[in-house]
Amino acid sequence: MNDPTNCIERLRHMPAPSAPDPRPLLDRFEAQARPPRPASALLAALLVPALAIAVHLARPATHAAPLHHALHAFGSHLADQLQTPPQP
Amino acid sequence: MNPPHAEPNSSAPSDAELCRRVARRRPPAAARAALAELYARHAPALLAYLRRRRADLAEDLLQETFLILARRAGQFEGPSARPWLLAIARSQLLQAARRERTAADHTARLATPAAPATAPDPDLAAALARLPPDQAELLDLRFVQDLTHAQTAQLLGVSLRTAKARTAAALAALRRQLER
Repeated sequence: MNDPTNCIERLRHMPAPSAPDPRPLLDRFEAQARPPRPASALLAALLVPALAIAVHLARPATHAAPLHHALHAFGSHLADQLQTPPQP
Repeated sequence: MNPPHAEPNSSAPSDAELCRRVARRRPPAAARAALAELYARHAPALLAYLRRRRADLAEDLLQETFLILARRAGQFEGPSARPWLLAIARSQLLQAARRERTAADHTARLATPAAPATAPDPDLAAALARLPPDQAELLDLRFVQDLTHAQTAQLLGVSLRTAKARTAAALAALRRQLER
Protein backbone atom coordinates (compact mmCIF):
# COMPACT_ATOMS: atom_id res chain seq x y z
CA MET A 1 0.00 0.00 0.00
CA ASN A 2 2.85 2.40 0.73
CA ASP A 3 4.48 1.81 -2.59
CA PRO A 4 3.42 4.47 -5.08
CA THR A 5 4.03 2.04 -7.91
CA ASN A 6 1.40 -0.18 -6.40
CA CYS A 7 -1.08 2.70 -6.50
CA ILE A 8 -0.22 3.35 -10.12
CA GLU A 9 -0.64 -0.29 -11.08
CA ARG A 10 -3.99 -0.46 -9.34
CA LEU A 11 -5.11 2.68 -11.15
CA ARG A 12 -3.92 1.31 -14.46
CA HIS A 13 -5.96 -1.82 -13.95
CA MET A 14 -9.21 -0.15 -13.08
CA PRO A 15 -11.83 -1.74 -15.29
CA ALA A 16 -13.78 0.20 -17.86
CA PRO A 17 -17.54 -0.27 -18.13
CA SER A 18 -19.24 -1.52 -21.26
CA ALA A 19 -20.26 1.39 -23.41
CA PRO A 20 -23.92 1.66 -24.39
CA ASP A 21 -25.18 0.58 -27.80
CA PRO A 22 -23.74 3.04 -30.35
CA ARG A 23 -26.72 2.88 -32.73
CA PRO A 24 -28.55 5.97 -31.39
CA LEU A 25 -25.29 7.92 -31.72
CA LEU A 26 -24.67 6.63 -35.24
CA ASP A 27 -28.25 7.43 -36.29
CA ARG A 28 -27.88 10.98 -35.02
CA PHE A 29 -24.57 11.26 -36.83
CA GLU A 30 -26.13 10.11 -40.10
CA ALA A 31 -29.01 12.54 -39.69
CA GLN A 32 -26.58 15.41 -39.15
CA ALA A 33 -24.34 14.28 -41.99
CA ARG A 34 -27.10 14.39 -44.60
CA PRO A 35 -26.36 17.14 -47.13
CA PRO A 36 -28.43 20.28 -46.59
CA ARG A 37 -31.18 21.15 -49.04
CA PRO A 38 -29.62 22.93 -52.03
CA ALA A 39 -30.02 26.71 -52.01
CA SER A 40 -31.68 26.64 -55.44
CA ALA A 41 -34.43 24.34 -54.14
CA LEU A 42 -35.02 26.61 -51.17
CA LEU A 43 -35.16 29.66 -53.44
CA ALA A 44 -37.67 27.93 -55.70
CA ALA A 45 -39.78 26.96 -52.71
CA LEU A 46 -39.96 30.62 -51.68
CA LEU A 47 -40.30 32.10 -55.16
CA VAL A 48 -43.25 30.03 -56.37
CA PRO A 49 -45.73 31.22 -53.73
CA ALA A 50 -44.35 34.77 -53.97
CA LEU A 51 -44.95 34.80 -57.74
CA ALA A 52 -48.45 33.37 -57.29
CA ILE A 53 -49.34 36.18 -54.86
CA ALA A 54 -47.85 38.81 -57.17
CA VAL A 55 -49.87 37.51 -60.14
CA HIS A 56 -53.03 37.46 -58.04
CA LEU A 57 -52.55 41.04 -56.88
CA ALA A 58 -51.78 42.24 -60.38
CA ARG A 59 -55.10 41.00 -61.74
CA PRO A 60 -57.72 43.72 -62.58
CA ALA A 61 -60.24 44.44 -59.83
CA THR A 62 -63.08 43.07 -61.98
CA HIS A 63 -61.48 39.67 -61.73
CA ALA A 64 -60.92 39.83 -58.00
CA ALA A 65 -62.03 36.87 -56.00
CA PRO A 66 -65.36 36.92 -54.14
CA LEU A 67 -63.47 36.90 -50.86
CA HIS A 68 -61.84 40.18 -51.84
CA HIS A 69 -65.28 41.74 -52.48
CA ALA A 70 -66.61 40.43 -49.19
CA LEU A 71 -63.68 41.84 -47.26
CA HIS A 72 -64.04 45.19 -49.04
CA ALA A 73 -67.76 45.35 -48.18
CA PHE A 74 -67.11 44.44 -44.57
CA GLY A 75 -64.42 47.13 -44.33
CA SER A 76 -66.79 49.78 -45.73
CA HIS A 77 -69.51 48.72 -43.33
CA LEU A 78 -67.11 48.94 -40.40
CA ALA A 79 -65.97 52.41 -41.45
CA ASP A 80 -69.61 53.59 -41.66
CA GLN A 81 -70.33 52.21 -38.20
CA LEU A 82 -67.34 53.98 -36.70
CA GLN A 83 -68.30 57.29 -38.28
CA THR A 84 -71.89 57.11 -37.01
CA PRO A 85 -72.22 59.06 -33.70
CA PRO A 86 -73.53 57.00 -30.79
CA GLN A 87 -77.26 57.22 -30.13
CA PRO A 88 -78.22 58.89 -26.83
CA MET B 1 -9.52 -4.43 -17.76
CA ASN B 2 -9.15 -1.03 -19.25
CA PRO B 3 -6.72 -0.95 -22.16
CA PRO B 4 -6.02 2.75 -22.27
CA HIS B 5 -4.61 3.94 -25.52
CA ALA B 6 -4.59 0.40 -26.86
CA GLU B 7 -3.12 0.92 -30.26
CA PRO B 8 -4.95 -0.86 -33.04
CA ASN B 9 -3.06 -3.67 -34.70
CA SER B 10 -1.05 -2.78 -37.75
CA SER B 11 -3.76 -3.79 -40.23
CA ALA B 12 -6.43 -1.70 -38.52
CA PRO B 13 -6.86 1.92 -39.59
CA SER B 14 -5.40 4.51 -37.24
CA ASP B 15 -7.57 6.97 -35.33
CA ALA B 16 -6.39 9.65 -37.75
CA GLU B 17 -7.56 7.63 -40.75
CA LEU B 18 -10.91 6.92 -39.08
CA CYS B 19 -11.36 10.62 -38.35
CA ARG B 20 -10.66 11.41 -42.01
CA ARG B 21 -13.39 8.97 -43.06
CA VAL B 22 -15.82 10.51 -40.59
CA ALA B 23 -14.96 14.01 -41.82
CA ARG B 24 -15.45 13.05 -45.49
CA ARG B 25 -19.01 11.85 -44.74
CA ARG B 26 -18.96 9.85 -47.99
CA PRO B 27 -19.82 7.15 -48.54
CA PRO B 28 -22.19 7.43 -45.57
CA ALA B 29 -21.78 3.75 -44.65
CA ALA B 30 -17.99 4.14 -44.45
CA ALA B 31 -18.29 7.26 -42.29
CA ARG B 32 -20.74 5.48 -40.00
CA ALA B 33 -18.47 2.45 -39.73
CA ALA B 34 -15.48 4.69 -38.95
CA LEU B 35 -17.35 6.46 -36.15
CA ALA B 36 -18.50 3.08 -34.82
CA GLU B 37 -14.88 1.90 -34.72
CA LEU B 38 -13.73 5.04 -32.87
CA TYR B 39 -16.57 4.48 -30.43
CA ALA B 40 -15.58 0.85 -29.87
CA ARG B 41 -11.96 1.89 -29.21
CA HIS B 42 -12.54 4.79 -26.86
CA ALA B 43 -16.09 4.82 -25.47
CA PRO B 44 -15.52 2.41 -22.54
CA ALA B 45 -12.58 4.38 -21.12
CA LEU B 46 -14.31 7.68 -21.78
CA LEU B 47 -17.48 6.44 -20.09
CA ALA B 48 -15.43 5.39 -17.05
CA TYR B 49 -13.93 8.89 -16.85
CA LEU B 50 -17.34 10.55 -17.19
CA ARG B 51 -18.98 8.25 -14.64
CA ARG B 52 -16.32 9.06 -12.07
CA ARG B 53 -17.11 12.75 -12.55
CA ARG B 54 -20.86 12.69 -13.16
CA ALA B 55 -22.58 9.32 -13.06
CA ASP B 56 -25.98 10.90 -13.72
CA LEU B 57 -24.92 12.54 -17.00
CA ALA B 58 -22.22 10.17 -18.19
CA GLU B 59 -24.05 8.42 -21.01
CA ASP B 60 -25.58 11.61 -22.43
CA LEU B 61 -22.23 13.36 -22.34
CA LEU B 62 -20.58 10.36 -23.96
CA GLN B 63 -22.90 10.63 -26.94
CA GLU B 64 -22.45 14.40 -27.14
CA THR B 65 -18.68 13.97 -27.03
CA PHE B 66 -18.69 11.63 -30.02
CA LEU B 67 -21.07 13.87 -31.97
CA ILE B 68 -18.69 16.78 -31.41
CA LEU B 69 -15.80 14.59 -32.54
CA ALA B 70 -17.80 13.74 -35.68
CA ARG B 71 -18.43 17.42 -36.43
CA ARG B 72 -14.78 18.38 -35.91
CA ALA B 73 -13.17 15.20 -37.21
CA GLY B 74 -11.45 17.10 -39.99
CA GLN B 75 -9.44 19.06 -37.41
CA PHE B 76 -7.99 15.99 -35.72
CA GLU B 77 -4.24 15.57 -35.72
CA GLY B 78 -2.26 12.99 -33.81
CA PRO B 79 -1.89 9.29 -33.35
CA SER B 80 -4.61 8.71 -30.76
CA ALA B 81 -7.98 10.41 -30.48
CA ARG B 82 -8.13 9.63 -26.73
CA PRO B 83 -6.64 12.91 -25.40
CA TRP B 84 -8.82 14.92 -27.77
CA LEU B 85 -11.94 13.01 -26.74
CA LEU B 86 -11.09 13.51 -23.07
CA ALA B 87 -10.68 17.24 -23.67
CA ILE B 88 -14.09 17.38 -25.37
CA ALA B 89 -15.67 15.31 -22.57
CA ARG B 90 -14.12 17.55 -19.92
CA SER B 91 -15.43 20.62 -21.68
CA GLN B 92 -18.90 19.03 -21.78
CA LEU B 93 -18.69 18.37 -18.04
CA LEU B 94 -17.79 21.99 -17.34
CA GLN B 95 -20.62 23.24 -19.57
CA ALA B 96 -23.08 20.95 -17.81
CA ALA B 97 -21.95 22.30 -14.43
CA ARG B 98 -22.40 25.87 -15.68
CA ARG B 99 -25.89 25.10 -16.99
CA GLU B 100 -26.82 23.62 -13.64
CA ARG B 101 -25.54 26.60 -11.72
CA THR B 102 -27.71 28.73 -13.96
CA ALA B 103 -30.65 26.46 -13.28
CA ALA B 104 -29.90 26.65 -9.54
CA ASP B 105 -30.12 22.93 -8.97
CA HIS B 106 -26.43 22.39 -8.51
CA THR B 107 -26.80 21.78 -4.79
CA ALA B 108 -29.11 18.85 -5.37
CA ARG B 109 -26.77 17.45 -8.00
CA LEU B 110 -23.80 17.59 -5.66
CA ALA B 111 -25.59 15.15 -3.41
CA THR B 112 -25.49 12.59 -6.22
CA PRO B 113 -22.54 10.23 -5.84
CA ALA B 114 -20.13 10.88 -8.68
CA ALA B 115 -18.62 7.43 -8.80
CA PRO B 116 -20.70 4.28 -8.60
CA ALA B 117 -19.02 1.68 -6.39
CA THR B 118 -18.91 -1.00 -9.06
CA ALA B 119 -15.14 -1.36 -9.28
CA PRO B 120 -13.68 -4.72 -8.30
CA ASP B 121 -11.11 -2.73 -6.31
CA PRO B 122 -13.53 -1.05 -3.90
CA ASP B 123 -10.74 0.21 -1.62
CA LEU B 124 -9.20 2.10 -4.49
CA ALA B 125 -12.57 3.45 -5.67
CA ALA B 126 -13.37 4.61 -2.14
CA ALA B 127 -9.94 6.19 -1.70
CA LEU B 128 -10.32 8.05 -5.01
CA ALA B 129 -13.77 9.23 -4.01
CA ARG B 130 -12.33 10.74 -0.82
CA LEU B 131 -9.71 12.74 -2.72
CA PRO B 132 -10.38 16.33 -3.78
CA PRO B 133 -12.02 16.14 -7.24
CA ASP B 134 -9.10 17.82 -9.02
CA GLN B 135 -6.63 15.28 -7.60
CA ALA B 136 -8.87 12.33 -8.46
CA GLU B 137 -9.29 13.67 -11.99
CA LEU B 138 -5.57 14.15 -12.43
CA LEU B 139 -4.82 10.56 -11.36
CA ASP B 140 -7.60 9.35 -13.64
CA LEU B 141 -6.20 11.21 -16.65
CA ARG B 142 -2.60 10.28 -15.96
CA PHE B 143 -2.88 6.61 -14.98
CA VAL B 144 -6.33 5.26 -15.86
CA GLN B 145 -6.58 7.06 -19.19
CA ASP B 146 -2.81 6.77 -19.58
CA LEU B 147 -2.18 10.30 -20.83
CA THR B 148 1.39 11.52 -20.74
CA HIS B 149 2.42 14.31 -18.37
CA ALA B 150 2.43 16.68 -21.34
CA GLN B 151 -1.06 15.65 -22.48
CA THR B 152 -2.38 15.93 -18.93
CA ALA B 153 -0.84 19.38 -18.57
CA GLN B 154 -2.36 20.53 -21.85
CA LEU B 155 -5.78 19.20 -20.99
CA LEU B 156 -5.80 20.83 -17.56
CA GLY B 157 -4.30 24.07 -18.87
CA VAL B 158 -1.24 24.01 -16.59
CA SER B 159 2.50 23.85 -17.17
CA LEU B 160 4.33 20.55 -17.46
CA ARG B 161 6.15 21.21 -14.19
CA THR B 162 2.86 21.94 -12.42
CA ALA B 163 1.27 18.80 -13.83
CA LYS B 164 4.16 16.67 -12.57
CA ALA B 165 4.12 18.28 -9.13
CA ARG B 166 0.36 17.89 -8.80
CA THR B 167 0.57 14.25 -9.89
CA ALA B 168 3.12 13.52 -7.18
CA ALA B 169 0.94 15.27 -4.60
CA ALA B 170 -2.16 13.41 -5.75
CA LEU B 171 -0.36 10.06 -5.56
CA ALA B 172 0.80 10.86 -2.03
CA ALA B 173 -2.76 11.79 -1.07
CA LEU B 174 -4.06 8.56 -2.59
CA ARG B 175 -1.50 6.53 -0.64
CA ARG B 176 -2.61 8.22 2.58
CA GLN B 177 -6.22 7.41 1.79
CA LEU B 178 -5.37 3.77 1.07
CA GLU B 179 -3.56 3.49 4.40
CA ARG B 180 -6.61 4.60 6.37
